[in-house]
Amino acid sequence: MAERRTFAVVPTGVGRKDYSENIEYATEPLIRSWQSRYSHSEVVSVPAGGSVVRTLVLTIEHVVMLHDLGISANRNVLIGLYVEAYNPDTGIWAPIASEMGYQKVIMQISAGFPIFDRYRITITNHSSHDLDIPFNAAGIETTEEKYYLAVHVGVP
Amino acid sequence: MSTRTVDFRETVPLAQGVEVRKVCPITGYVAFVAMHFPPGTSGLVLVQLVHEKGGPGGAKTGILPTDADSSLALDDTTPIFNLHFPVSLGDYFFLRILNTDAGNPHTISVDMIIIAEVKVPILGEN
Repeated sequence: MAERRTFAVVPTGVGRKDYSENIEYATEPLIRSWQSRYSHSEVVSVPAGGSVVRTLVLTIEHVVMLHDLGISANRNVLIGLYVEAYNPDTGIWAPIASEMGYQKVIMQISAGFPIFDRYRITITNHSSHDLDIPFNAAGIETTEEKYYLAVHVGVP
Repeated sequence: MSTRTVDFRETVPLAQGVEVRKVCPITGYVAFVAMHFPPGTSGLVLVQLVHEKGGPGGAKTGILPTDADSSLALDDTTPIFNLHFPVSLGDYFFLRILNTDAGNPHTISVDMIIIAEVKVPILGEN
């Protein structure tokens, strides 16, 4: 049992709409983190005593946190891997890592190294045999926008 | 332990007030009151919950706020008040909502839980 009475009151201000009018406001959500797996594999033919340079271009406006890189050979010979990252702001190639090993070179960057735009590998064959050297790289890929939101402090 | 709820949900048009009375269904005490102020009320919607002893027009005592002449005006919150406010069957709850917002209607909900009085036998008393 309820009694109900309505009457006028003097307004004192203006508030905001609520769901009394079945109005719902939605905003486009800001996805703060998105990531996907990055991997690259290719076989590089390196002549005896020579070296080969490969430039690997990433998807535009994407960033790859490079974690693992490796090369191997089918002979127990000395091979080397040199990795450089490109800075699109300065146009400078900066060395990330350089390593040599017999039959294989494994590089692990536990914190990941951010690659913008492209990176470059140089594979050196120190043996007297021509070699087909498989190169593998793995990392985490995200967009530049999400990278700056999630990883980097501040805006570029 | 018996409980009863008394619920109010009122959509008040802009620059309007509403007064609603509901009868108390049980003798006991008001244990909880939840009030919902939706986002947008901006402190412009005044809410009073008053107890009327014995029926409409009876002695008024403020439940929330305890001063029957003042009111609560909040925004985007649902406070839950723990009370021990004694009431009797046939008393009335009187809810007054004044929407002083000049631009928007607002919907206020007030839910009360009333717990029944429990008579405990005591030696020497009936």
